[in-house]
Amino acid sequence: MHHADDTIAAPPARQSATANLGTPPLLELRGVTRSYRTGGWFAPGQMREVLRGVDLTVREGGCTGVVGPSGAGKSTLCRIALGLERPDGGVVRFMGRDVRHGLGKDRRHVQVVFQNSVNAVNPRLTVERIIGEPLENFTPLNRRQRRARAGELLEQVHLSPALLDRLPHRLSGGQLQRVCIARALAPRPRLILLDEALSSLDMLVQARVLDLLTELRRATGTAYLFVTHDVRLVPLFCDEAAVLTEGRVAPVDMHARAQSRTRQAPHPAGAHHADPHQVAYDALRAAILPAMPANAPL
Amino acid sequence: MSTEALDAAAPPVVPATYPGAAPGNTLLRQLLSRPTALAALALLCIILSMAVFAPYLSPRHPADVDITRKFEAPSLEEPLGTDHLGRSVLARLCHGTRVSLFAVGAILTCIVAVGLTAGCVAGYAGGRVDSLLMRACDVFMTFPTFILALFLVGVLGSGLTNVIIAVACTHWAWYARFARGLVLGLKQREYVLAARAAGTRPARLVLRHILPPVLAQMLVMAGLDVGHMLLHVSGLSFLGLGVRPPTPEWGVMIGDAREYIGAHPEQLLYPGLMIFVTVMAFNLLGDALRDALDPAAARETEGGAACAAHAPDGIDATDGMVGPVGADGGDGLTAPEYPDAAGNRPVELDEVRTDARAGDDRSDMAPALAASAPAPVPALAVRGLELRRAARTAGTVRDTETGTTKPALSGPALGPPLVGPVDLTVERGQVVCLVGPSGCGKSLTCMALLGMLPDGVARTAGTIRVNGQTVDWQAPEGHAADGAPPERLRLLRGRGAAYVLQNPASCFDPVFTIGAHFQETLAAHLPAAPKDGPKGTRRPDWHTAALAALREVGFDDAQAILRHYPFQMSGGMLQRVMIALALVLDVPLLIADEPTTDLDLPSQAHVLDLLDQVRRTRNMAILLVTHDLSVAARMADRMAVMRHGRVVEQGDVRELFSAPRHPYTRALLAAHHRLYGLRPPLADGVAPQPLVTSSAAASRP
Amino acid sequence: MPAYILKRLAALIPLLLLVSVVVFLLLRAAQGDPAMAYLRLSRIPPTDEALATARRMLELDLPLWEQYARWLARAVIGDFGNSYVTGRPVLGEVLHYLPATLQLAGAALLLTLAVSVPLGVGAALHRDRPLDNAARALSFTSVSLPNFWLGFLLVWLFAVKLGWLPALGRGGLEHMVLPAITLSLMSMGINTRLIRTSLLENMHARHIMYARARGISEHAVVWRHMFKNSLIPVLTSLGMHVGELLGGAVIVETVFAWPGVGRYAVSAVYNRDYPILQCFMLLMTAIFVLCNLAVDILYAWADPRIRLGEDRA
Repeated sequence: MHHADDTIAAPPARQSATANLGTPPLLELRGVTRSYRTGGWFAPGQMREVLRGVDLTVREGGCTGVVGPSGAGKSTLCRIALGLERPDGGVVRFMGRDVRHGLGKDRRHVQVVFQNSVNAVNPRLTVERIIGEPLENFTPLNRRQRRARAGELLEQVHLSPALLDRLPHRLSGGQLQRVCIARALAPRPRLILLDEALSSLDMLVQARVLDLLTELRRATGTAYLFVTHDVRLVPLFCDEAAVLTEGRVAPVDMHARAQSRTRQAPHPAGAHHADPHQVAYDALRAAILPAMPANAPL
Repeated sequence: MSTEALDAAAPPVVPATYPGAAPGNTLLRQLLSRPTALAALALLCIILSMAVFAPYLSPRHPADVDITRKFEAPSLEEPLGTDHLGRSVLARLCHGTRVSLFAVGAILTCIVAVGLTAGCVAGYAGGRVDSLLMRACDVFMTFPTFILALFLVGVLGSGLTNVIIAVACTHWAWYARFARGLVLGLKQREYVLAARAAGTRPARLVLRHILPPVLAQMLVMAGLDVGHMLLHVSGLSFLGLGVRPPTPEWGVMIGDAREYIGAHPEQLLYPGLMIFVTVMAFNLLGDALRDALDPAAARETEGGAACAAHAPDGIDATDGMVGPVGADGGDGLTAPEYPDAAGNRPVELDEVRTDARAGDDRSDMAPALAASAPAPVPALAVRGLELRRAARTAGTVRDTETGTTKPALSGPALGPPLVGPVDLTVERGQVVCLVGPSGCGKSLTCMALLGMLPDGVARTAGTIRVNGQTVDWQAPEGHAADGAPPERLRLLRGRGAAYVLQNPASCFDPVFTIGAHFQETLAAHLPAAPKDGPKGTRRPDWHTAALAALREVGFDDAQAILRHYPFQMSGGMLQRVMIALALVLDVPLLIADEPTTDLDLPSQAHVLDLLDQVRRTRNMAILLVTHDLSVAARMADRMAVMRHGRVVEQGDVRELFSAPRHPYTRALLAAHHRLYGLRPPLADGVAPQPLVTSSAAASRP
Repeated sequence: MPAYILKRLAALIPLLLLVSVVVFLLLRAAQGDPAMAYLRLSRIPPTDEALATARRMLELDLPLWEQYARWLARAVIGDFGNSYVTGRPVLGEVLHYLPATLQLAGAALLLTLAVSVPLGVGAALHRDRPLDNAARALSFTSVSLPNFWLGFLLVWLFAVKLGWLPALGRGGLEHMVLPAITLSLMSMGINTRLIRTSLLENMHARHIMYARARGISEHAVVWRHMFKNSLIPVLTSLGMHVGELLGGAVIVETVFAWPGVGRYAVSAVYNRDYPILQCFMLLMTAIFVLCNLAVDILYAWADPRIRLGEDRA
C-alpha cells in the first residue's frame, strides 16, 4: 500500500550521509531546554516545559530535517536555532563557538524562511527594501548597489527584477515565498532555517520551490535546517533527520525500514526497548499516503 | 472612553491578514472615496476655518460686554444675536471653536504620546516593566471615566489646563493597554523575527516594523474617541469646572443659557448645535478611518466577504517565473492570465474525458450483472453547473430550460462564469476526488451542491440531482427574516447529503455541547411523532442514535464526548464527529471539502481510513475535494481535475495517474511525484523511477 | 465556577487597595495644607495654636504611610471623617443621596436595554432596510449628542412649552421620565450599534453556515445560535455602560436638579469639601468594580470556554 519506501534509492543517500559525517558541524544543539512561566504577580507561577532536551546537528553544506507536530515546541526550537531566544539550559554552538547569548558577529550566517510568507514580510515595504534589509545591515553597499544586488538575488530565485518595486500584496504566495528565500540568501549565510517553508504552498509551487532550494544548495553550499511535518520530503531532501516528540529532539535513522525493527539480533545489546523518537518517526512514515492508486495498471 | 472605541479595539491583536496593509497614499484615496468620509472632512474643514478665521467672521470681541444690547434679535450685524450680557453669540461660538479644538487636540496628543510610549515599552520590554505598567493601567481603568475626570478637576482645581489633564488621565490607560496588546502580537510575528535575523537593531526594528501599524490602529481608535472626549470637555465646562470666564466655550455657553430657558431658549440652541455637529463629524471620520484600515469590517457592510474568500484568485498564473520549469517533471507549461482585461477567456484545451459516459467505470462489477440490473440512481449528478458573480434580488424569474422558477439576479450575469460548466457524477459506494489548486473553485462547487453559496455568487445554469432529487434554486439568505430556504432544500441538507469540512473547530457552535449539536440535527429532520400515532413512528431517542454514530467513528467513551464542548476537542476528533453527524441520519452522499488539510499525518490517515470504512459499510457516496494528489491516490475511484473553475480532465483514477492527457494534469502529477522523489510515469506506461535524491547530488562537486 | 468567582474576588483586593492609595495621595497632594483648608472652611481664624491643634486632629504629624493606614482602617468601617461644610459624618451624607442616583441609573439601564435590544436585533435581521437605516441613524445621532444639551431641549419642549412633564426635582414617576431618557440616550446608541455589529458578525460565522448545512431551520439558526453567541460581547459591554451611566448621572442630575449623589459631588468640588469627594470617588468606583465583576461572572457562565478553562480531552 505504501510505495514511498520501496522506490526511494537508499544506497546512494546512505553513502553521502556517511561521507558527510566527517564534515565539521555547523550548528549544534545539545541538551537544550526551555520553559515558560505563566501567571503574573498575583497568581502562582507555573512552569511550562516546552523543550526538554534537544540534540540536533547541522553540518557544513548539509541538510538536517526535523519532523514534529506544530506547536509551542517547534516555534521555540526555531527561535533558539536562529539565535533569537536564549535557552534555559544546554549548549548551542555555531562553528564551535558558544552562541547561547546571541550570534554576534555570526548573525549574518543564520537566516530563515518562514511558512507563511504573507506574515513574514512587512506589508508596507517594497520587495527591494525587503530583500535589502539584510544588505543594509551587513554590507557597506549604498542604495543603488543594494538595488542591483537585490535584482540579482531575484533572478537567482527565478523571479523577474521587475518585481522590485511591487508591494507584497501584489504578489502570489509562491512569488512571495521566493522573495523570502532571496532575502535569506542576501547576506550569503552558512545556514538557512526553513521553518515549514513549503507547507502553505500548492503542490505545483511546492515542487518548484523544492527544486529551487536544491539548486541553490548545490550552487552556494549553504546548509539547511528543514523543519517540516511532511515526512515524505525528509529522505528526499535531507542528509540527516531528527524527530521532535514530547519536547525532546533526537536524531533518527531516516532510512530505517519499518520491518527491520523486528530484527533485533544485529543490533548491539542494550537496544531492546524502542527509541521513542525512532518509533515516532516510523509511525509518521507509516502514515504517509501512497503515491499511486492501488492496483494501478503498470 | 466610548464603547465604540472598545469595539474597534475588540481584537487587540492585529489579524494575520494585516488589514493595516494599505500604505499611506492608498489610504487617503480609500478615505476620499467614501461619501460619509467626504462629508465628515468637509464639515471638519468648515469648523476648522471657523476657528482659524474667528476674528474675521465676527468683528466684535467675544468678551465684549454691553448690557444695553442684551438678547438682541439676529440682525445683519449680529447674525446670531447677543447673549444675556450683550456679547456677540457668533463671536463666542467662533472663539469657542478654538478652545474646543485646542483642548481636544491637546488631550489627543497627550494620550497618544503617553499611551503609545507606555504600551510599546511594556510590550517590547516585557517582564517586570510590563507588569508594573499594566498594574498602573489597571488602577486607572478601574474608575468610571467621567467620575475620575470630575475628581481630578476637584483635586487640581478648575481651568482649561486642568480639564485637559483630567480627561487625558482618564483615557491614557486604555490606549496604553491597546498599544501593548498590539506590540505583544507583533513581537512574535514572523516578519519581526525575520528582521531580527536580518540583523536589524532594536531601535530601527521598533521604528520601522512595529511602530507604524501600532500608530495607525491607535489613530483609528483615537478618531473614534475624539467626539467622546469633546463631550467630556464641554460637560465639565458646563458644570462650571472648565474654562474660567470670560473665555468662551460651548459648554459654558449652555450653562449660562440655562437660566433663560423660558424666555430665550435659542441661547441654548447654537452652542449645543455646534457641539453636536462637531462630535458627529469626528465620529463619521472615525468610522470611515476604521473602515478604510480594516477591509474585513468594510466588507461586512458591503456583503462581499464570503465571495472574496472563495473566488478564484486572478494572480499571475505563471507565478512570475523566469526560465524553465523545474529540473524535471513539468513540460514547460505556462498559462495565460485568466481572464484578461477584455474579459476574454483563454483558449483552453477541451476537457479530456477518459470515458464516454459518466458512470461507465464499474470495473469491479461483472458486465453481465451490470447489464441485467436496473441502473441505480447516482448519489450525485451534476450537469452543466455554472456559477457566476451576481447578486440575488427580490423576485423570481422563469427558467426557460427547466421550466421552474428561479431567483432573479442582478450583476454581471453575462460575464465569464466563476465556475463551470461542470459535470460530475458520484455513484453509491464510490469515491470521486475533485482535485485542484486553491482558488480554482472546488469549494464553491461543493457549496453549490446543497444551495449553500455565499452572498454575491449564484448558480446561473445547470442541474444538480442528489439521490435523484433535484436541488432547488437557492433563495437569498442574506436577510434571515424572510427568504428562508424552501422546506425541500432544508430537508435535503444534512439528510440527503452532508458536509465534512476543513478547520472543523470553527464549524461547531462554541457555546453548545456536541450532544446539543446531535439533538438539533436529529430534531430538524425527524419530526416528533404525534401523541397518538401508531407505534413504530416514534422518534428515535437522539441520545441512543448519537452514541451509536460516535462509536461507529471510533470513539470509545461516546458518553463523555456528548457532554464535551467543541473547544475541548482536537481537530481530528471534531472531524470524526462531523462524519458521525452524517451517519446518524444515514446520508447517502458525503461531501468532504479538504477534510484532512489542517491535520497532522497520523490524524489524516485515521480520518481517511474512517471515510473508507464508512463507504464500505454504508455504501456511501463520497465527493472528496482536495489539493493533495496522494489523498486521491489513497481514496478515489474516479478523479476530476479542476482548474480555473473548469474540470479539465476526469475519469478513472488509475488511468489518470498512469496516463494523464491534459497538460495541467500532467504538471500536477509531475509535481506530485517529485514530492515523493519519483520521476513521473512516461506516456508509454513505464513504471515510476526513483529520482536521484538531492543529498547524493549535493555530494557531487 | 465557584473557583472562578473566588479567584476574581481575590484579585480585586490588591487592586482596590492600590486605588485607595491613589485616591488618598491625590487628595493629599491637592489640599496643599489640609489644616489650613479645614480651618478656613470651619471659619476658625488660622492662629498658630489653632493650626497646631488642627494638625494634631487631622493626624498630619504622623508619617504619610501611617496616616494612610489609619485612614484606611477607618474607611473600612465606614468612617470617612466629617464634611468640611456641614460637619456631619461623610458617609451618612453621601448615602443619603445615593438612592436617588441608583434609582435614576437603574431606570436608565432598563430603558437602554428595553430599547436597544429589539432595535439592534431588528436592525441586524433587516439589514439595509428602512428599520436598519433608521436604527443606525438614531444610534449615531444619540452618540453624538451632548446629554446636557439634550436634557435642556427636552425640558424646553415637554416642560416649558407643552407643560406635560415637570422640569426639575424628584417626585413621582413623571419626574423620572425626562432625566432617565436623557441619561440613557448615549448608552442606547452605543448598545444598539454593538448588538447590530455583533449579530452581523455572527451571521457570517462558519458555524452558522454549518448549522444551515445540517438542515437546521432558519428560525433555530437565528434564535438559538446567532443570538446566543452575539449576546456574549454585549454582556461584556454592560459593565462599560454602568460606568457611562454613573458618569452621566453627574451631569443629568445637575440639569434636572435631581437630588442625587452626583449633584452633591459637584457641589463638593465647588466647596473643596475633600472628605466628601474622597468618599464619593471610592463609592462610585466600588459600585463600578462590583458591577464589572457581576458582568464577568455572567460572561463566564454564558461562555463555556471561560468557565471550563483550558481542559482538553
